Amino acid sequence: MKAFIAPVPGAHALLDQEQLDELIDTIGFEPFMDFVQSFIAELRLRPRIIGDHFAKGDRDATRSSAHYFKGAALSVGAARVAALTGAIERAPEDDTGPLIAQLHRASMQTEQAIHELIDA
Amino acid sequence: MGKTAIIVDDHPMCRKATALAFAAAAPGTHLVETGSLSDARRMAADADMVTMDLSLPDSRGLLSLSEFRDQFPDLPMLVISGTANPAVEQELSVLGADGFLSKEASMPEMVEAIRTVLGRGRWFSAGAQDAIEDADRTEVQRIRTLTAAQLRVLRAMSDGSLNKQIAYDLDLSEITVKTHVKAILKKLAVPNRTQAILMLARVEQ
Repeated sequence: MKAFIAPVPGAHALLDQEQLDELIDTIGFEPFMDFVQSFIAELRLRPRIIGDHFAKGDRDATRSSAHYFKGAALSVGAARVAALTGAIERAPEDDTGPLIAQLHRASMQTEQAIHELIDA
Repeated sequence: MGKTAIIVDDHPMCRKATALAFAAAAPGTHLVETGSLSDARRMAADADMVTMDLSLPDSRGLLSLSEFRDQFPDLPMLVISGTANPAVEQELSVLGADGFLSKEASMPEMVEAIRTVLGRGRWFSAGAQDAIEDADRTEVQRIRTLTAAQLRVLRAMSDGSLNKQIAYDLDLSEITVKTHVKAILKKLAVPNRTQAILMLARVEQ
């Protein structure tokens, strides 16, 4: 019998390839490119906003911004960013700082993975 | 005159994703996008469908949604949320929503959900559907909710074909077949394809 292992946000793939394939297949490549450019802007902006809220001690705004970012990540198949933002929504205060640091890294890595996907 | 749908979400990207799905599900639908529930209230009387996020700056979640439903009882409403939870889905169903979709749903699934709710059908996940489904509904009635294309796919499944073979035989893409299979499981409220095949066999005896 397998032991239950709690999901680790950082262990998620950066991008859900199947979801991306289905997205491109349904809407076409050009609309996908527009869509994904919007997400790249989010990747550059939103982790900093979440971090600023946390630094100010505004727990509600931190959670709310994480939820907002999660919606965008889910819609584009950015699995690791979605998992981390979901974890930030639920995390106790002590765990939030390290999760935001992970989110910064995951956002940069996700942008890199998107560029590689586009260039492929 | 074409149909009008209101997309209510405070994130522009999520509105965009829903708009792209509408373009595939119901081309020509006039789309109005807003990030506010009060805007949606103002425009809903002239709309044919609304998609609604649960977390809006001017919303109190399920309570606001319930008030919106009371105000517009006949407007087809699909809730699209980042909070996926069967208990919330059941609550939404009781409150009168016509469907629920997680924001992590694939684009083909979002297209099918919009098409279903716009056509006055219902769209909930299989787990929630089990609890929601009217206990009196017969298997024949469930089978009859399938579209002609979905029924063709179900018959091909009954012949033992896998998705790749079904796609080849019916001249569809494999992704389209997968989307049909998901929709079939939802509509029949069964957890897997074996149960769907068995249900078809029972009603066709």
